[in-house]
Amino acid sequence: MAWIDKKDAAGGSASDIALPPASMRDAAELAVTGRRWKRPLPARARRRERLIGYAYVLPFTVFLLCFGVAPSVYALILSFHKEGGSIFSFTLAAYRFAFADPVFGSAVKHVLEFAGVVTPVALVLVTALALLLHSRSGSTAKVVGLLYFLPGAVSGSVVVLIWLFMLDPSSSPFQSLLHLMGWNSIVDVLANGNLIWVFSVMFLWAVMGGWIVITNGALKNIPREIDGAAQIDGCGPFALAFFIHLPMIRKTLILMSILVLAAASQIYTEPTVLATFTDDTVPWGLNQLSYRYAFQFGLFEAAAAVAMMLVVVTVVVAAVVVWRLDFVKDTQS
Amino acid sequence: MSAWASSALRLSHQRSGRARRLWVRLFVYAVLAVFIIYFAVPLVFLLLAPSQGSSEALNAHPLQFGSIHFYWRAWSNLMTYANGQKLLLIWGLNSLIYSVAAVVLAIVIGVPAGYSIAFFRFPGRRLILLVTLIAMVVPQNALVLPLFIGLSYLHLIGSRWGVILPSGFFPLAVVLSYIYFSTHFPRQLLGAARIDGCGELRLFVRVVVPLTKNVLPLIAFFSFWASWVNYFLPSVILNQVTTFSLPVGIINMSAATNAIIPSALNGGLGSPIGRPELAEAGLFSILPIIIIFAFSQKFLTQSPLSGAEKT
Repeated sequence: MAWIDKKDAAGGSASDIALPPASMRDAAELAVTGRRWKRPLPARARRRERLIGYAYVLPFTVFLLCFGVAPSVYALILSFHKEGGSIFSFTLAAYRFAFADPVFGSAVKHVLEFAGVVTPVALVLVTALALLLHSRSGSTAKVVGLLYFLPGAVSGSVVVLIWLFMLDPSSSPFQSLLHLMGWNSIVDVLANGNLIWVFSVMFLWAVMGGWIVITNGALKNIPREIDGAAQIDGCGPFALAFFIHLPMIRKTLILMSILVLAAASQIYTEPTVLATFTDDTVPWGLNQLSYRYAFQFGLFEAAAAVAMMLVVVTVVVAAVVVWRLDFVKDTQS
Repeated sequence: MSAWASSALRLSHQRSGRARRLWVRLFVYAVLAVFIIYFAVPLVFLLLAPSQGSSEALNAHPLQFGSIHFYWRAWSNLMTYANGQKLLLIWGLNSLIYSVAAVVLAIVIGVPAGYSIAFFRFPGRRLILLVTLIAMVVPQNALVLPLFIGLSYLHLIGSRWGVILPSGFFPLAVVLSYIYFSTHFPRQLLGAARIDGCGELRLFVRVVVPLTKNVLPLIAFFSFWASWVNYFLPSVILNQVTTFSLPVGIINMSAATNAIIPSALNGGLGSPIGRPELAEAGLFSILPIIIIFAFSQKFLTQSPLSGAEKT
């Protein structure tokens, strides 16, 4: 790299006569480091930089607008739209309709319960398993971590299929466990009150492995000297895990909890796929309900209203995450 | 504490510690093993289920290997399903098309955007970065219904483009390449190339892209994976059997039988599709991604969040 540095230094001194390339490099450095720039760039160079920057970011911006922002804005407008009225006639009818629907109430309850079960369970299990893996040697941790991670390769819909096999007392490898719980057929297992647990088992099975690997990665980044220092001070393995390692991966764990919560609130695949087998016509979750409104009843306004409530909640949560956890420092500069 | 006291303490620690350490180890392995059962047994079951055939499954232990012969029988049943249209292969091909398209779009659109945000100053830069970060954190499923409603307005429901184009909006690609460019990329290289008279486009294609070897596989892996396992979007957009992706097709196929829940009233008598066939189809849908996992283990351990905790 030495030759590059030398050339670079030479270029720097020559750039005093406002050679566009060199001043552009200064500006680029500023953009990244956020340092104040020493002398203002010539207007032409700045305009050039702006244009090139826009050119590179344009395709993504178009996709962002078309498939992220525009649908959300359209759904938002639609949810307040008065049937048969002009675009500017606003009404809360769609929201009132949803709130009056008893299925909406039960769907909200289901989703809240589901998120309330899944988030703490994922937090505790992922933390515990990542810490345990971390206490083992590198190769054990790697192999076991991969085994935990493999279910992530399975599509959400196939996860449901697999777990319906697993939960059928007539063919499951966990037969004895299911009989122990007093379930003798798949219909017993899928009784209404059990569904939340069934969906939780499916959801956690596919999701946790990835987070265990990520958390384990965060643990690996803790400098070894800290472990050594703690051990010399008489710190045992449990104390090390709880009082030294845990606080140091706090940020990853907070991020995980919030992302799991957000994903859980969007539950769709599990109840929908199950419903295709049980011929159950009452939607269980909110996304399912919204889809049902739009697809079966043509109630696009009501569908948009339910979808918007979900989108607004998750976007607000996401914005808080990005703002509070500032995982990319640059956004503040 | 004096040196004497501390060495005495260490000695007593070692004596009582040996037995305790054994218990700790046993405990750790027991917990890890319980969760290996939870995570791995369903996959092992899926692997073995087709080998047992449909009638044999009633007597055999669920995790017993039957005969290799039954894999072929299940496969030929899958091929004769729906008048021998070989739908499973069509769905596999569709999944491949959707996922490869997602990878290409994510890279072609995402990497230049990350490059631009990392190295160029322009009004709106921070806004785009912020929106991208938020979009990355929002779960994929949250935007499906607004998209569905928007696409029905445009009469694009049922079109393959309704699945392919939205996958070009993959914020993680932008964020990963942005982080890579702003932390690992030798910035002086750009200045050097410009001084040598290199044009902007050539600079990007000839200098920048060849140096993204570290981050491209990561982006490709995540976008392929996200697209391959996605169910919600394709299930809502696609409405013709021949355009289905694997996750959608398999559920469509299994809904037409009563192999999953025998008491369900959706008929399916005389269908060649039973549990062994469904298990084999499930296996078929997982295999490609497991192979990719196995070959890219290195990338899995270097997750995008590793380093987030470095103090």
